[in-house]
Amino acid sequence: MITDNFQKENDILLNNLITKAFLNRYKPGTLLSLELFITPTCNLSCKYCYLNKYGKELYPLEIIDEKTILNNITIILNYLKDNNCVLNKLNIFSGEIWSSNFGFQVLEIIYNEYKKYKFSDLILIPSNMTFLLDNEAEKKIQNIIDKFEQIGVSLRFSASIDGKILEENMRPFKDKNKIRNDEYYDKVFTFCKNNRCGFHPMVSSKSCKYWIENFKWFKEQHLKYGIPISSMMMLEVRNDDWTEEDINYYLNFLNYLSDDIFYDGFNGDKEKFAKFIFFPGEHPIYNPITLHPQQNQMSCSIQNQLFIRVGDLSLIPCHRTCYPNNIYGKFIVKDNKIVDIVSQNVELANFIYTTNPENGFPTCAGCKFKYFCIKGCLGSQYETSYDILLPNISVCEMLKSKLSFLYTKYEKMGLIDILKSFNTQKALVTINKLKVLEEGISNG
Amino acid sequence: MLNKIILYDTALCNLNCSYCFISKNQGLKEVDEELKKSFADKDYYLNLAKKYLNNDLSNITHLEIWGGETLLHLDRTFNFIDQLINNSSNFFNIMFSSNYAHNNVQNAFQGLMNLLGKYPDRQFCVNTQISLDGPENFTDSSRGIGVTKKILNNLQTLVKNNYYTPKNVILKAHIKATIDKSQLDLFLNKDYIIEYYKFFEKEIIDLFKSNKNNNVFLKAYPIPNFAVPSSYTQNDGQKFAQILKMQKEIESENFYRDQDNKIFKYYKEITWFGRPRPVLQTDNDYIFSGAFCETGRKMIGLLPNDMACSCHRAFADYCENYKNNFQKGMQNSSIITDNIGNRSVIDKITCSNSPEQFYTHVRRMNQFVEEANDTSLLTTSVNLIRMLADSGQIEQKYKDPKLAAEAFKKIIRVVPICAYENITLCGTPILLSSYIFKLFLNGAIDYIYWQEAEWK
Repeated sequence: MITDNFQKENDILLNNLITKAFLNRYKPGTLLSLELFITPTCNLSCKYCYLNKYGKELYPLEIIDEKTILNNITIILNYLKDNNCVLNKLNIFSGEIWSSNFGFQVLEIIYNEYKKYKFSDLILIPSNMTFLLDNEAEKKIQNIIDKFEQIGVSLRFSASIDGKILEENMRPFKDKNKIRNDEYYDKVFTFCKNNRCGFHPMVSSKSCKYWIENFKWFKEQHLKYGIPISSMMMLEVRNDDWTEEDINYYLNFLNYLSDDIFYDGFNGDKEKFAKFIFFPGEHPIYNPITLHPQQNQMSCSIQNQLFIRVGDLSLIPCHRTCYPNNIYGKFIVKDNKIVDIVSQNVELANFIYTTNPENGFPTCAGCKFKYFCIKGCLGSQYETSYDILLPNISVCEMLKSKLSFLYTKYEKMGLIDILKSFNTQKALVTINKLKVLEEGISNG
Repeated sequence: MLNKIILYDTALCNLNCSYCFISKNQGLKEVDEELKKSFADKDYYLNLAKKYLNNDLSNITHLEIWGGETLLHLDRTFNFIDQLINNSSNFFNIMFSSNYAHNNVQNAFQGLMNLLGKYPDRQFCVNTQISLDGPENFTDSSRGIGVTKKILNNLQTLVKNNYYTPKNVILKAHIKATIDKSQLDLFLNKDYIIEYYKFFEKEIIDLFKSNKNNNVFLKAYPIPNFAVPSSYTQNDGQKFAQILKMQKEIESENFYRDQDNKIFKYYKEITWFGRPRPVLQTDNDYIFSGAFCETGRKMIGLLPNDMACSCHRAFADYCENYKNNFQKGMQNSSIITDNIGNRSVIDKITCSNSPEQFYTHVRRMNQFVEEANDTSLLTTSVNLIRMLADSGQIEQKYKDPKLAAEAFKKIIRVVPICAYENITLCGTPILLSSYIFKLFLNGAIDYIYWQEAEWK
């Protein structure tokens, strides 16, 4: 159809992109997920947190209206239902709202919609778990988890806890009267054990010094509560604040971690350890000591998840990149139904959804570390340079140092030779890519 | 390496052209006051240049002057030009753009040439870009009644006086003819196309040829360009293709006519974008660095309040902030410190508060453009082209990735990539707006590269 309206043409483009990428019926093997960015409101002031620093720009105050947000959740889910959309999982992202009435209302609405139409088997909620300080809140949350279970849906919290050693310093409460004590952590681990929740502590530049001790605490707790330590995801905070000293502390921790996993986790079995390092599984929980090729996409979910900022129904790259310049577009509502999409930056949407970072992201495309590098965080990059695609220098340094260190260590351990002996297609691909990595390391 | 400084001598303009990228608003008066104050401090720009260039101006070869209408207050820059001559023995080239449509044009040139004439042992090249879009009714329709006559009058006087050039100055004039999207329909008529170019032959080419001095000349026969960025649609792209087809046919007919019966006195080629740049290609890679503009790589724009920006178009951001703040009732230069949370209002990388911020942009441009073997520009553009084809907004054949890649390579040989535009529209230098592909890939690119061996 020919139209003489530029905006309309771009709206059609974005519509087609969203439809092709997300609204077709779920196909097995395709990871299609949805994240609802509910609100940036949080009870903590984590030192490295982008919501803490830039929350007002990412989610302007004027679009944070609880009533509107609750209504918009229904509108969004109905839209997906009308398009016969089935998700791999639904993520509910916020600062922290799970000890508030608003948070409970959010979950109730979603529950009621799921009763009518099963959008997914899994709902994931990252949370700092401080709702466990409130017994009433804990009960309500448990109740709703149980209700979801009864309709065949796993409502799972992912514990954003950095560890007892770090939390008071790195993640203080806004309310100075609140404290985290041993009793609190016991509650956290009990809850997580009972509800099959994983932990995802953040490894920030300024905490690396303490991470060996912190990890030991985590391991102790996991053991105490019978939770496999392998379910814990330790992810680097990719802010542009990594100094040489921080990187050295981090390498020291990685050295400790890899030895611990090798001796304790794999009983010193090099072949099994090599398999873990080079082929962690089809849907691995990220572990920083692994050395496996990235799957032609960003390590985060920005490329295979639809993100919606619920307050104004904006289609956004993700919860950390939804600055005004980066908004893809917006859903248009009429009579409480989504009737159209209006585009704003369709070029960026197309780029994010269709580009393989190994040949399409500037700088990364020409880097010899690219096959194994998790790449920078686009939101952090924007915060540093106002360009979503310009890598942060110190983050590149950290990631390259990490890969160089791991490669050298594993080579000395003989793991590369073991990899070569596997004689499978996957091993061959990894070996070829390791050759490129090795070149990058040699070139400095 | 940065070798070009840009100054903005005024924010004021005597015209209000429909396609201008600087919106004419009351805040421009405030900006101009800032500029006036900055130039009144005799050492401000010299010190600012040294601050951003690590105290070393010796690599500076070029100075560009932009505005507003530059010749309204060209004299503001004379002090800095003097200083630049004395601080860089390599400095030789001055360029500015002007509408030539006011009464200060002659004075401005006389003043500049007097200044350059004071240095007879130095050779200078002055490039003057003249904004003249076409015949009288064409130009006046987008720029104001009577503008064309004023331009031509000024030009005639300048050429008659050899632009007042001393012996040590070469002057190159370039006509910048801009076509607005709303004017495309006019060119769907061969007679109009011919009339359009004959205007330039009579009023410009003949004029410069009448000047027998060998230090003042016209750089090239005028071929118009499009006002960008613009909201070109698929329909516009189809029209554009038709226009190019007609232009090729006129060229062909002109070629085959006898010498005494040619359509044009001077023109052999009239097709828009009809001169693709040579291919830069190694065995394995297509090098795109030549396609990018120089923003952030070769040039630095100096602004009041210790600021810098990346190119002449970035000045629009500086002015735009004044517009926004003027509307909020702010009357002074506190725009720099007006905060949302802890962030500065000027959040476009095109304007920098500090050398550190500016050189982040430089790093960005160098990384994006200069790195060999970087396939990102090609990959991202091919993906967008294919999506456009899939959505039916350009020719269907571009669903094929090979054809899409070839088409992109052809486009960037005729259209330089404007990093500022990409940043403004899409947020990052390597993302091109969809309008470029809609304009060229609805048939136009095929005509641009259409060759008839006999008369080529």
